[in-house]
Amino acid sequence: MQHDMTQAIIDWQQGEAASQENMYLIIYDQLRTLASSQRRKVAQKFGEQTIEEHINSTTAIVHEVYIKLEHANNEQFSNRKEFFLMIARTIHNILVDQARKNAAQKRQVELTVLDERIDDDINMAVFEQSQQMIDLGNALQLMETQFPRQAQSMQLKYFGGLLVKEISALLAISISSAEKDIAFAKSWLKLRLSE
Amino acid sequence: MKKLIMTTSYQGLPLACYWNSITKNILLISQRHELTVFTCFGFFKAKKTLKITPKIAIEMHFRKLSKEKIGIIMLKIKGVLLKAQAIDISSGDKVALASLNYQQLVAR
Repeated sequence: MQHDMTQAIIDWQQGEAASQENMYLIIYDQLRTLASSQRRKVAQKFGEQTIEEHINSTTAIVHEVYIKLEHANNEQFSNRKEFFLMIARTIHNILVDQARKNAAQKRQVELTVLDERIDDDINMAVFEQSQQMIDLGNALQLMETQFPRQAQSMQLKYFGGLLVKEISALLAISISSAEKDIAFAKSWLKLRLSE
Repeated sequence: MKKLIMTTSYQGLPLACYWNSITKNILLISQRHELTVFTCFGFFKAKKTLKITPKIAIEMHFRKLSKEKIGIIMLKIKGVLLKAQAIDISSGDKVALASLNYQQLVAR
């Protein structure tokens, strides 16, 4: 799989016809597993309502990832590490964008339907859950600038769904360093989000 | 004879894809719309588009892996992969895409 991926990336960069499709097919099952677990995690943590109906399936998330990858054609990635980071970021961005959209819709509803009190509690719950996703997204962005390696480890673990040993191989660090990075990133995020 | 290969939905529209293990043709069904893709008994690459609504067109792609009895069926929207499934051409049984390697995909 590792060698396949590397070869697929090299071919894609050399402009080989159909190499992009081949690469998508190679990672397809892995991507589905990843998207499915991310969707479940977000739904469990922030509630099913944060995920809009059209994105409420693994197929839809994978399709969105491919659309983003199509548009990221010019974005250079030279190896598996950069590719997986891009995928992890893409899945994360899809879910955060969704949360932002929900929050914006909620604000719109508040502005236009001032007297409407029906489902107010439900709307507030969705808003709070979406807000948590946005806060998490913003905190991760800040961490990327201050502690890039720790942020990468975190993204690969939680959005990329990789194991610690895979992360250590991708980032060329020891397993204990990867574990420390993830633990640091977790407590940093916890502190940041509780402020 | 007619085997269900994959089902999915796109923007609320259900899509079902069948493989005919005798004629080796693919049938895509979405609500009242149907599309048959002829693969010349599973030997040739094929592509056809089914327009479901004025705005939504689903592309059905078929490609056979060289020197293998495996075919890949892909549903695409505007050229972007929506869903894919590999099948055993003779039996119509599903084959996991993860079990294929890059060399099998690029072999000519």
